[in-house]
Amino acid sequence: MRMKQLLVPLAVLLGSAGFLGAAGPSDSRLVKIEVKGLACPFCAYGLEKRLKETGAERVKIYVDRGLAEAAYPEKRLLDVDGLKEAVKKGGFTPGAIEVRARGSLIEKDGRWGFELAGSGDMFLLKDDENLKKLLKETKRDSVIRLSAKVEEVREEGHGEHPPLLAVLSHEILR
Amino acid sequence: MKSFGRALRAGLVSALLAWPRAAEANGPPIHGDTAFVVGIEGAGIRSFYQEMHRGRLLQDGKEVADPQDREMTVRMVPLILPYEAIPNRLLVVFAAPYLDKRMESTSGGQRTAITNRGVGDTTIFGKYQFYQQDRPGGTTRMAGKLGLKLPTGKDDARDGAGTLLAPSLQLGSGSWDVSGGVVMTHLYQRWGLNTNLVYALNNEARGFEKGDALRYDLSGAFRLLPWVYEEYPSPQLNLILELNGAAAWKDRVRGASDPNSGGHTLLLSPGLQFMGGRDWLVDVSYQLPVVQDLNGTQLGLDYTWTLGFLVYLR
Repeated sequence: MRMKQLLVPLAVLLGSAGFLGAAGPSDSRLVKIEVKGLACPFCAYGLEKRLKETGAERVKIYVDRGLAEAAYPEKRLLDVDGLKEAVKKGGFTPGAIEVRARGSLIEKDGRWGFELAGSGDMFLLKDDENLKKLLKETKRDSVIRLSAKVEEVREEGHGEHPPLLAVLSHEILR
Repeated sequence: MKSFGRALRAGLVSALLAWPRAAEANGPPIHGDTAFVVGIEGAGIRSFYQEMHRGRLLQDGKEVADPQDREMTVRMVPLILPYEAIPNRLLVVFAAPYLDKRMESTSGGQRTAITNRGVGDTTIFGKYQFYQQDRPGGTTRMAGKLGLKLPTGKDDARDGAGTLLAPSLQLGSGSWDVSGGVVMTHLYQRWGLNTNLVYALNNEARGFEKGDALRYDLSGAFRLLPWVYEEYPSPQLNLILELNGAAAWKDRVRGASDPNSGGHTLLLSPGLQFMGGRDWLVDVSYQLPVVQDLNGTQLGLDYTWTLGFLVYLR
């Protein structure tokens, strides 16, 4: 029993370490943003500066892939609009956004959502095959690390809704 | 002395044309301009050392013997400070040069030199990006420019005999001049193309009015290293080849057109640019005239070389 108590947090720590190798501290949340127009390293400085202003602990910019990665502390709210605005102010056009974060599934009014650990903000999950697979493999109180694509929802006559997370992959932490 | 001064003015005034263009070179490319108003453009202090040498007397575009064997050297070190007034939209740039002008000539078998050093005219210009089309790995942008040159440079320097120096040897023009134009940038992966067209409208001061000028630049850039740019920042070496042109109208002296002024100059400017990371870059360029179609009799340009740097402000 004691051994199990030791192994569980260790497994969580090691699981985080894989993510950490690419992103930052173990309690970080990683956001990947496609940056259109990023063809000049000399102008990436402004992008890095603006992303750091959003509270990122660390920013990585991959010029040839047109990609920026920002690592945030978990206690910080995931501000999708703020991220897009930062990319625009940095001089570029934001494209697809992916997030990799720790949290748990919650069900509300018949829909599934993902509550981010630390900040407690909640995003609805897109109802698709990947979500069905995720629900099959996890329990309601599981802590998971979720990789998801941020999707904007625009409905005719209803304007823009809060973004959805479309599940890409997941890792069960406990 | 008066005719000598006029000849100098007529022959050398086009050297001044190079100043505003050089001052606006606030990042890649080296001599031209870019439509970008962010990144290195909006956050760095730019300066360079530039040396321009003129020593060939041209008459209707052909080299002729100069009995006075005149040679002019202009050395310039500007300080260029950009300020991003509206993020990714409006950039305001302040540029002030330190100038060292020297004219040597032979008269009566004796070689003499006139020198004039100090702060030149200050230029303030705004660059407004009005078009931006981004796509993966590339972008096309356009910006409009409007500049004002303030007469901060001294324009009443005299020689040892108390004679007013020719305008080309003065540090400032004494006039308030305006300029306006457009800049276009197209980048795709390791390639870059920048082009700009700027019209400079010059005004009169002390009875002298420098001819208006239309400047145009076409700059190609190729990233030599790294071949694959993985993660920013990374040391980077760029090869740059520019064509820098200027078509100048004739000057006016007390209302009359000066036949020995104005004309068309086109320079070929190969250069190298090295970025050491996110904080700084250095560049070097050599400019060689490929077209010097100057009106009347004027001193032609031999070469210009430039060694510049840019340091980020954080």
